[in-house]
Formats: sequence, structure tokens, C-alpha cells
Amino acid sequence: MTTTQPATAHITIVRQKPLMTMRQILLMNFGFFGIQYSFGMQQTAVNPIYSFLGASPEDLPLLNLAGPVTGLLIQPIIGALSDRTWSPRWGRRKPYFLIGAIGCSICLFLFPFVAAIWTAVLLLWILDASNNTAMEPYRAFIADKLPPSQLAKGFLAQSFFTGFGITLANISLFVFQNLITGATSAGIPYWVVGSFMLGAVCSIGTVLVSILTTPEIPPSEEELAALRARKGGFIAALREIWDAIAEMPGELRKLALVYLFQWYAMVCYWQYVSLSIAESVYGVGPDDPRYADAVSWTGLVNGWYNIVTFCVAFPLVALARRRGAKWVHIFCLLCAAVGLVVFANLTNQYLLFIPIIGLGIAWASIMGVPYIMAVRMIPSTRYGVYMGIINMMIVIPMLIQTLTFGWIYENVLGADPTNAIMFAGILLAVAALTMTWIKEPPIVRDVDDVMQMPAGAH
Amino acid sequence: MTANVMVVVERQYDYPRPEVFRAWTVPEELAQWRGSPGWHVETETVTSELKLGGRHHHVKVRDNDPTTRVTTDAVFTEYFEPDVFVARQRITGDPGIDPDAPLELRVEFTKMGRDGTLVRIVQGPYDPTVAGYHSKGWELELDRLETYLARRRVREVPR
Repeated sequence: MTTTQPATAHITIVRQKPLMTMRQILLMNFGFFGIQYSFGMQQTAVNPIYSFLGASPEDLPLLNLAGPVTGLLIQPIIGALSDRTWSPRWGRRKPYFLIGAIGCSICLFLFPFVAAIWTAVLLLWILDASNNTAMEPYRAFIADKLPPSQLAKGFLAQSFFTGFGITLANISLFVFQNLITGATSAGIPYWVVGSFMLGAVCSIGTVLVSILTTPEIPPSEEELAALRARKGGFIAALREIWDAIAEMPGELRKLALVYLFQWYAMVCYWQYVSLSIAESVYGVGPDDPRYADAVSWTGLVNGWYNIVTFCVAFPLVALARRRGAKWVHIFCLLCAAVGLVVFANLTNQYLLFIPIIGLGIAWASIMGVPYIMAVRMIPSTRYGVYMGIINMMIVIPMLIQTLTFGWIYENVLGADPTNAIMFAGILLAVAALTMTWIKEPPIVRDVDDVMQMPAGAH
Repeated sequence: MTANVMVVVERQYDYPRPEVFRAWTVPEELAQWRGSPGWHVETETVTSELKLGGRHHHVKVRDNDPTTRVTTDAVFTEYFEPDVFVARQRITGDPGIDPDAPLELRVEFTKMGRDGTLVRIVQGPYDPTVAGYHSKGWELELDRLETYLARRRVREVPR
């Protein structure tokens, strides 16, 4: 890095950022695998633990309040804090994902030994806070390390490990059920314990690999001085968020409505799928010993849809870039809508794998395709704040679901978990319908596509 | 050698973002300051469609040797006034740049304080052997931008 002091008061800062190889990008993102394994356990195994401990199905949304609340509060706070951190020994982002991963590992280790619902709720809050502490600075770490032209590759690698981590978490539930027998004194099967233990090891292990192989870029003296002089803290961050919401493009507001329906639906699915399979396939409720089989089969079904997600994610992104994100996402949401309605009415456990392909396709789209559209609506200089707002567009529907769905489940859906899954399918269809309202920004072709090499510095 | 280095150059200006953004994008303005010392942009060669997907073209010429010409053709892959623009560039005539390997030029304009602007340029990938030369080029070019902005401000002040 060099600096010059011309006639004016401001200096020019010059840096050279080497492009990273694919191997370096994968190693840097490897820790995301462990963090997402932990998130996968939260998605699939925590609700059955509540059920094993005797929670009523209509209480499940409220028992999951930790997810949206910590997502809404912890991520922006940790993001703002890590922006202001630098330690020559520990770096800027690493302390946060190390602390987050340690928290995840401890919670995953303790989770299967809970004996009462309140301790499970408490642990879920700490687990969720730890997950969010690790996740937000991890995204910023990628942005710190990679030049803008490699960011898409970095985030794709993150999506890859997201799918991989969640898939492994789900499949481990099925595999361990066939290998491990017995249960804790609270009635939690040892195969569930095994999956949590594997999660505890993966969480800290993979983050350590990333930390030890990927150095952070130290700030220059000028940057360090600016960092120390930075004022405003939390209030300034809130002000920035407020300004961004006020200036938010109209099409992004419409996308918020799509997100409301699609994320409400996804949470309904995650919360009620094992109860739905227990009822439709096994004909039992959570009090029956065979409910454990339904939980394990749910792990396999969820693992399968995540494998589908894994396989279609890259082609979908490529298709959306070429043909436009809007119709690709509409098609994917409709696949899931039809899939879930059929899924809820099947009684054969093997046939479940066919309609859930629709959800796998939609999940791949949900995780990537709307972002392709969103980044063309917002200036990349404000990605940080708008990504935070898009995160709010995810967690607020989750929060609304948490507060409203218990009542809907009891009074509208007849306390029937298969109806909850069909309801999720209908909401995904509504999300697809809402998506037609969005006017997609134009697709930009590359310099090679529009120029026939005319004769022709900075 | 493989072109695998991105050059990042930052400089703050005491002018509001719309002014600085205009200096970078409006053809008549950019022709007055772009180019390292010893080079200039031929005003009549500059064309620019200032929108997403718009094309840009300009030719830089060495002051003491008009036959030495470096041509830039580009497409805006991102264009948000006054926040940022990104262009995919094909540069021909510069011996240190492969004309068959497009470069990306990204210029961000961040509001600083009341009326200041932080300009951040990210360009590449460059071959490591020429990255330093181009970094220096940008450094000098940004000095010219400062001079141009000051000159324009003086012209615009009513007498």
C-alpha cells in the first residue's frame, strides 16, 4: 500500500487486492458449513425435542420466538460492532465467528440433555444468538477479503456450504436412528443426541479451519485512525437503516410482500412437517412412541429436498441471470405450492420424496434468485444496509408467523398439522402471484455480447 | 503471468457526490481531466450512454506523440447516480493490458460528512507486474480530478 500527500488535505490510499483461488475461497467459507449444520439442527431437530418434552403443537410457533427476534436484533448490532473492531492478534471479524461457533458448540452439546421445555427454550435463545453472532460477521468477512468482482463466487460458496451443512444435519438424524438405540431419562432418543454431538464438533472444527487458513487483511494506519475516530455507533447505524428504508425502491417494497408470504410459509413447513408426516403416514401424534420414526423420516425428507436444492441452485442462478429472475422464481414457488398440497395428502412414506422435490427447487430459488433481482435495484455501495433490510424482510414474517400461527392452527386449520402444510403451499402460491406484480430491472449483458471488438486505459 | 490483482484506490474530495459523479461520467467533463500526466482524452472520441447496459467509448492520446493511442470500450453493468457505476472494459493499445481479457472498473461515491465524497476505484484484474504502474496512474489521475473540480467550482462562483 502507498500513500501520497498532494497539495490538498486528503491523501490517496492505494491498495492491491490479489484475486483468491477457488481453493482459498472454499477454505475461507468452510466455517459456514459448521454454522449451517447448527442451523439445520435447529430447523429439524429442535421442534421434535419440544414434542418429546410434551409441548403442544399449537405452542410450537411461540417456542420458536428466539429465531426471528435474535435475527432482528443480534445481526445488525454484531454487524455494526465488528465494523468498529480491530485487534492485531484476533482480527476484525474472526473474534465474532469464533465466539459464535463456541456458543453454538456448547448449546448443541447441551441441547439433547434438557429435561424441561423451559431449559430447551433458553438453550434455543442462546443457540440462535450464537448462530447470528457467527453468521453476520462471516458475510462481512467475505466482503472484506474479496474484490467486488469475486463477491458473487464467495457468496455462492457460502450457499454451497449452507446446503451442505443443512443436508448433513438432516441426513445424520436418519442415519443415526438406524445405528443408535436407547433414550435419555427425559425421553430424547440417543440418535438425536448423536446428531447434536456431531453438530457440536462440526461447528467449532470447521470455523477453526477457516480461521487458521485465512488471514484477515489488516487496516492501514489511515483506516485504523478513521476506525477509531468513527462516531455515532448504534444511533448512526439506526439512522442509516431508516434512510435506506425511506429511499427504498418501489420494486424492493413489492419484494417485501413476496417475502412475507414465502417466509411465513417456510416456517409453517419447518414447524409442522414432522407432525404432519406422523399423522398422514404413521397415523400417530407426538405422544406415540412411533413419533420418533416420523422425526427420523422427516430428517430424510428434509435431507432429500436440500439435496435437490444443492443440485438445482447453480443452474437456477444461471437461468435467472439469462432469462430473468422474476419468472424463474414464480415457477419455483408454484412447484413448491403444488408439491406441499400433494405432500400433505400422501400416506405412503416413499411417495413423499416426489412432491418435496418442488420445495427443494423453491428453496434453491428463495436462497438465491430474488437477490439477483434485488442487487440490480440497489446501489452496491449500500449493499450492507440493504442486505440488513432484506434480512428484516425475512425475520419479520417469521415473527408474525410466531405470533399469529398458533391461533390460526387452532381456530382455522382445526389443529391438524397436514392442514398446516397445505396452508404453507397456498401461501407459496400467493407469493408467486404477488411476484407477478414486480417489474424486473433489465438484464445487463457483458461487454463481449454487445461489442464486436471495435478498434479500440483506465 | 496471470492477471490476478485488483487495484483499489481511494481519495476523499470536498465536493458533493452529484458534482464528483458528473465529473466522472459526463463526456464533456471527463475529457477535461481523465488520463495520467502526459496523456489526454480526445474530446471528440468520448461517447457515453449513461444508463445500465449503456456503452462507453473514449480514446487517450500521448501529449507528445499523437500516434500512441489507448482505446477504451465499455458497457455499464451497474449505474446508480450518484452512488456507483461499474463498467466492463476492453482496452486496446496499452502494451501492459491484454485486449482479449476484459477489465472491470468500479467507481463508488460515498457521502462523507456534509458535502464530501469518498471516491473508491476498484479496477482489474491486472498482471502483477503492471498493477503498481496502474495504481500510480490512478493516483496521479485523481490529483487531476481535484484540480479540475477546484477549477470548475471557481468558474461556477458568480462574480
